[in-house]
Amino acid sequence: MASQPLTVLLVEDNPLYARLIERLLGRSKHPTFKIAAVGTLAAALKRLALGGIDVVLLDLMLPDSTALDTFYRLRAHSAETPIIVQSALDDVGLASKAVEGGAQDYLLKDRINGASLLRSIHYAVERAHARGAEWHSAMFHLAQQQFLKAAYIAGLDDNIRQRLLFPERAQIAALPFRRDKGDQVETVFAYRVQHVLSMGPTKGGIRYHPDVDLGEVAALAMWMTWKCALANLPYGGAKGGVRVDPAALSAAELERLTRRYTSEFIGIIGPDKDVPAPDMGTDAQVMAWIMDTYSQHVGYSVPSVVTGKPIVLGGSLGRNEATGRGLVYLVERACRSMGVELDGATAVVQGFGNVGAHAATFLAEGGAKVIAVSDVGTALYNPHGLPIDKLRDHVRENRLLADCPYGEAITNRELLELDCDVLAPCALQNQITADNAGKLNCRILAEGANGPTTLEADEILKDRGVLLLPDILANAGGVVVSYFEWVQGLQNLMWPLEEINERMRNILTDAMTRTRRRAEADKLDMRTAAMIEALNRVGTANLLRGLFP
Amino acid sequence: MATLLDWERALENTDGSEDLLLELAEMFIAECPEMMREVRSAINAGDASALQLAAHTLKGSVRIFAMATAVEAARRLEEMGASGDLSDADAGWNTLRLEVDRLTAALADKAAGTASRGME
Repeated sequence: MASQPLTVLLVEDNPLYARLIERLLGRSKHPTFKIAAVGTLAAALKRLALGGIDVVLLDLMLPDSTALDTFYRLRAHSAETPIIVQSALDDVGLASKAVEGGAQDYLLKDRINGASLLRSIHYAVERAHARGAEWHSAMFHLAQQQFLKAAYIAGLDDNIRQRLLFPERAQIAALPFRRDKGDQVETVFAYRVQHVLSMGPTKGGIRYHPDVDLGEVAALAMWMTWKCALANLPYGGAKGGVRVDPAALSAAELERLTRRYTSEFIGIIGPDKDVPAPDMGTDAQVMAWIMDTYSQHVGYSVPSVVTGKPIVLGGSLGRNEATGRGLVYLVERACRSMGVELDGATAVVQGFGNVGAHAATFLAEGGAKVIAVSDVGTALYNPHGLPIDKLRDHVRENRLLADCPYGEAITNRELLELDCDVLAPCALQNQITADNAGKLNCRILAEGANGPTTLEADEILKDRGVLLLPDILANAGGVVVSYFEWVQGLQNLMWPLEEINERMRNILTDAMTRTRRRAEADKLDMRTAAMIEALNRVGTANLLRGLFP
Repeated sequence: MATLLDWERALENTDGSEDLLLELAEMFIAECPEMMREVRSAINAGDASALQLAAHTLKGSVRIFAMATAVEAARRLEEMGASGDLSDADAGWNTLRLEVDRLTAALADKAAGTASRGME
């Protein structure tokens, strides 16, 4: 490690506390610290402008600025410098808001000690650097913000918090595969990330998409951990990805790419290690190739190395439509709790892929009037309800909703703001933000996609009384039925569809009941409540296992 | 006089260093009158935000010594400042003064105790 001292800007008006910090940092040999101490925000801004500050330790209550204002005003002057907020336990909420706003970490003044102080500074500096490179991802930032907020409110053990903030294992491969034409070899980046290894095998999809990066895969792996924990499944979270546009590849190219991916990561996947599944850009056929490659490698058939397989290879009934079906089970229940019947309710679905199309189908089957749907290029609106079957026929033939005659074309923005009982964003992350959250006109927001809503938007929706079914709950149906597929595979059993659906409904409604109970008891938004339910399980498991060696 | 000063807990705040804790205690004894004066004058002036800040600073200081009752007294005044309702501020002040007096006395004892032990 570099022996150069780290320069800390200590912004603290309390002389005792400033002295305490100076003395605690003064004892450290590796690294050593230079401390610039100031007592006001004005002095802090002046010192920052001179440059050379590695990290800011910020007290939020200052003579010339209080609370979040302090953070945002300082932040505006130092987008690059990591800020650690110092907070007291009785200022709950303040520090978590600062973390939402981009603070690197927080320190509780009530429990300050040299070790946690040094570690927090060390991580903040190192991670500000790491984020600039491969971890840089808005999605990973959101996943970490959500986690830190819940960890703060739940009072999660400090050591566990630091362990869970990054995935335990992340592998990157530069993956070569042969194109169809001539002797051209394409090399693409591929990832497999395992977030938590202490709950059992890890579980998570593989995504083929041109925008995939390590940060995105890490965020999705983290969400898988919470999803599995919330549903009480014996898994940690994982995710994989390849930065490639699958639509530009032939089936033979996709197969070679998939087999090479499997062979690159063969040491860390397996039915007892890490079990992939389909995600954006991959499907049952891709899972079949992974299963075959793995089976060839070990010398016998191992269907349980993946889920979401074709039924004839040991896939589970109901897996393909499970995410959409699970979402509608929860929507139905949420409607009832608000005194609305799904039969006759109005619904808007953003996204018409596997999740969106199935969600729209099951909503319509339940009697809801689906007044608008969209895909990547088109949004269709019909106040009398859209014929979902016909839309699916159209998409089967034309791949996209474009030129579909059953509704009026509107913009994606207008779609999100339609007056409806249920809005189900089932497409992409980052759709509902501080900009449009105030204009939503739904009563229930059911997140079929991962991370469609920012933290700022969460606050606005909570204040407006919108019932949120957060992603880790609302789209967990897929992983729940994947779990059933894995269990059936290990036991060589086939469950009937009714049993699968009933078991899934029980697991999801139980998770929803626990989440609502916690949200009401602790006056939390549904996302934070669901996160805390999940965190408690993972935290307890980690504490019970202890730390090796 | 029984005191609720939790010295062992306070030592955790300084990583077990009694020297550092005593150094901070001396600082506190020296700074305390001025901090209290600021709380009092904010109450006299009916200035809620000044009270919030002054009480906050005091709270942060007494917390280092892990005396829960003094922290609580300062926190109550800080809250009154935050809410803008100073109607109970005088009662809050009386409690705070009592707690802070007890704390400074206890800290002075500690300082003297260690000093005399050092001379044996």
